[in-house]
Amino acid sequence: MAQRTVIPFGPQHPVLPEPIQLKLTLKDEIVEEALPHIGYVHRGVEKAAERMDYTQNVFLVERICGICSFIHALCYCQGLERLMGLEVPRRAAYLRVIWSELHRLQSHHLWLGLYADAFGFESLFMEFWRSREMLMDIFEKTAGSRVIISACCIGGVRRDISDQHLQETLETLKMLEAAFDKSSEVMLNDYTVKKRTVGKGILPADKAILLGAAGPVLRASGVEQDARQTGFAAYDELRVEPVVETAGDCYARAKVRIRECRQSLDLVRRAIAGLPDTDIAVRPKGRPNGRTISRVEQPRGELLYFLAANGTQKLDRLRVRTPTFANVAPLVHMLPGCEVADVPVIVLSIDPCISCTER
Amino acid sequence: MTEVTRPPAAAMCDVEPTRPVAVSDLCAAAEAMATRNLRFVTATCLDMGATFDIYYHFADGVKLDNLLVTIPRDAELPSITASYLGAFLVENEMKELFGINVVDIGIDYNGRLFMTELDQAHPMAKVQSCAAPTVEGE
Repeated sequence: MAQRTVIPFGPQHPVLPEPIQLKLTLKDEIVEEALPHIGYVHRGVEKAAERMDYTQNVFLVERICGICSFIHALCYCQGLERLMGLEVPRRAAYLRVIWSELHRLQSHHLWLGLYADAFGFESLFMEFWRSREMLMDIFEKTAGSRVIISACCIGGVRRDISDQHLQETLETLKMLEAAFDKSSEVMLNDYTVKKRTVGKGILPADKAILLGAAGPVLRASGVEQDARQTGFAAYDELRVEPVVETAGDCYARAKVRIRECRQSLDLVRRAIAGLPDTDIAVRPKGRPNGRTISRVEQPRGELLYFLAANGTQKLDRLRVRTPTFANVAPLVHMLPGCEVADVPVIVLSIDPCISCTER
Repeated sequence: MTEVTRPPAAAMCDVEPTRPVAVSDLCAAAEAMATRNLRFVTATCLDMGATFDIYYHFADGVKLDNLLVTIPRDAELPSITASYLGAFLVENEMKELFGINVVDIGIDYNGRLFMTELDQAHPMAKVQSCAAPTVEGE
């Protein structure tokens, strides 16, 4: 006779670098229901942003997440620039694309490594993380820091990238691409990887829309939406076609991210080739007033900032909707019906960032 | 010091198309969005003192379509989880952090998504309803 058991998956678990809990109701080895619990490390960033000066908030929002810190700052600055009527110089817009795509590359490399580790492929994990070091070195060279690079500011970017560093970046990307070709080949074609990921954690397109999925999770279900299509920063000139897969399973989510890495490599190269020779920032004048929404595409999906300003130095409200927060509900839909041994792989397939979720 | 006067929400809104809806029409408006196959993005709550402004953001392709509901502080807000189950987290967040009385949420954490019984009630609200409870013995 089938036996029902409720087991806690997390908040501490080997595949989870950060705490989240899923209460899994199992019928023998099959998951019947999953109930997520978050809030273990909530930091109250939205409240803190109401108490700080709007210029100080740039440094605050960068610390929401260490993996995509630049993109948080970009989203916030872009919203303020809209409220203050600032036009960012084109070189700054291009530099924003370069650093954003480098962040996407390193985030996807980080995830591909963790994902390989989740199904016990440690050597593949090491391959991806070794390649990722090249990207971290690029950050150190171009911005002076490896994790929180603090390159974005209201009105543009805080620093330029010299011609020599741009050249070195291109050379490093060549080496990275060669290593990536080998590692991604294994991730896409290895028998054991496919055995653990194909047909697991399926999210159909209609459910992805109704449950509000974001980023690679949404696009792996066949929905062609990518915030870069809105043309923020220099994406209006460096056109981006969303990377779409249709199977909606763990394998498709990995494939989307692998193809996005190639897209990012191409975008960085095109941005460097077309980098205009202008100023890198304009000086903000006045104070922000009004309400606006700013959207960008993080490695994990669409990031939305809602800013409400009142003409003073402090914002009335800063709302931050991160992609993992959006992908928790789709995850709850993916798990029922799977075997308990597949739960870690399916959870990791959404690329959960709890730092972002627990703003 | 110059007093800052705020224009009405809809007038100062630079948010992409926003349609104000009455609270009684919210569920029907959300259902209409679901019928149009719009993706639920999130909701944003603004504490305006006597009222709350609540935006619901939906993605129509790459564009956003927004609904704006304004409710008095103590009014009930119906959940849209019947149409968009994915809204359960943000509705629990609004209920817990702002103190909005969201009713009929698909998965209701009853105020225990982020907070514990020892935390200050509704920390994001600009008008605090009660102080943080103290731990016995402190």
